[in-house]
Amino acid sequence: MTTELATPGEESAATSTILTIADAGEALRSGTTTSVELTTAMLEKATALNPALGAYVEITSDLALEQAEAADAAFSAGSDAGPLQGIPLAIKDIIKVAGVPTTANSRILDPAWGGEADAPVVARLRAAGSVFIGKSTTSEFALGQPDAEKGFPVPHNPWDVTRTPAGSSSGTGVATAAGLAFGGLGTDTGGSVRGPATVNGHSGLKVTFGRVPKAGVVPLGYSLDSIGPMARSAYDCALLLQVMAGYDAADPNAADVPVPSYTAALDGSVEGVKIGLPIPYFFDHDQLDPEVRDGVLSAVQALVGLGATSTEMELAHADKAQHANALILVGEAYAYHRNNMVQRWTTYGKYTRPGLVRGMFYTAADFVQANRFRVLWCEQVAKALQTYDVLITPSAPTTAQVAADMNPSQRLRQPSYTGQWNLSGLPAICIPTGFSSEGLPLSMQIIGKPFAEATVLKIADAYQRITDHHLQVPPVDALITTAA
Amino acid sequence: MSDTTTESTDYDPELVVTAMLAAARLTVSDEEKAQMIKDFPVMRASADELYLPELEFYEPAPKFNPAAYYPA
Repeated sequence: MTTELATPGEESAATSTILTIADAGEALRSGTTTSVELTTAMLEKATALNPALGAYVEITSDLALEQAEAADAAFSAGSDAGPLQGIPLAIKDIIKVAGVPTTANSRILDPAWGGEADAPVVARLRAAGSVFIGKSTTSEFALGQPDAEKGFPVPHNPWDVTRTPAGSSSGTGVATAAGLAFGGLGTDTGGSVRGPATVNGHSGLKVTFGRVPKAGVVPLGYSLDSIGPMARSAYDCALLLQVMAGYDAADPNAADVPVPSYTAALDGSVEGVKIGLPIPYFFDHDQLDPEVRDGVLSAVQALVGLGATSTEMELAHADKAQHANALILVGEAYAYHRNNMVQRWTTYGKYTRPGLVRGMFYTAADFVQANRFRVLWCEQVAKALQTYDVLITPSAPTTAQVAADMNPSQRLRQPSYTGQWNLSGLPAICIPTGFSSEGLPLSMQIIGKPFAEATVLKIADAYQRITDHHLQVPPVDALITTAA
Repeated sequence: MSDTTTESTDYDPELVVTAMLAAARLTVSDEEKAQMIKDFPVMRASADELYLPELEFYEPAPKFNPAAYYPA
């Protein structure tokens, strides 16, 4: 079956060159475009490419156009709710949006889960005038790989559709990279914002635990979950976070900590910033791709050129920290899923259930011990961050893997560089550093102190002011089939 | 493609996994169980590594505050 699609070719010159939230905001306010025009183009592109890229579980066209019209009317009336007004975004389908089913990409979950109201973070985006293009695909229950037999769209990496787009915030990652949204929401419990940002070639911020209220989100790991912004640029992540962050009583883990201006510090300067490079495990592992490592080190040198300093250092037990995060995650997740796993095992996807069941195999003492180790790890990292402003590591040991070669058992036997920062609750942003010899995105990760999102965003933004890796767009139009 | 390596242990992973699945009342396929038997030693080893001597005087991260459930 082929689809005749004239819209991508007909997309106006104005909309086709708008890549970021910041650019879109300027265009909206200068009258170069309207939210309806941006949204219409994006909806048509999303619809055309979803069969190939699987970014969305549901494209919410009516809602999006309604919101776009409201945004344009507000602009016309002289009302401006801020940088997100009129901006099309993707919402990960484990986050509640009023009036729209939430599936968690699972046949287990009642789509009416969570009731009728928006999750608090979604309510904030709605109040800011943003536009919801759709509910983006996720690994089932934010864990594991997609199972095509369950009937949900399977997301694909837009740089190479045979490769994984990573998870679990796959759909928002794919949509952001391919221009099917300007950005959106993901969640991160062990790397699920940062992984997709890494392999899809854009920016993704895991926030400090408690920075963004996580009520209205299907839980994975209660003491690890966070909602984070995903967008092309760190600057756009800052614009999103400005709206998302802040206390909400609906989340017992929400932090009542003032929200600073995340864009105020984005002045391109990193003069005097002290960067720590934890070499053992993060930079010397035998499974670390040399191109990934070299990309990070090259980026660090660029930051040094801007006035930062970098020092090699050590963080003991980084591998154990990854394991402790994984243990706590599956323990907390299995408690949530236990009854359904007993009663409806095969209703879960075939790649989800072996991951979830690991929570059953660990003992209660193991869970407690992982939480004792957690304190040691937090103390160690905090000591390091007394000396350094940030730590920088590779985002992942490799570029995007071939999807057909992946299985849940691999993850037990591979290094990973993201869960350590969920374990310690710290903010961490992943941004592109270039492309591999195979044309796949490379990425680095910048980790900061608790509630120092402004610092990690500042450093990421400074790097992106002198590079354009985050602005590269995969050649997705070739994936649209046209009528003969 | 599943991992085919089998870790060396001083216990029988098949006995352990079989018993734990039974106790948890989980019915899995033979293929799934076989992979769990291969994976269990890796998981067990990663958990065992966390029992570090230097954690002797460490309390777990989560803290319980009973007063949190009562009006101020």
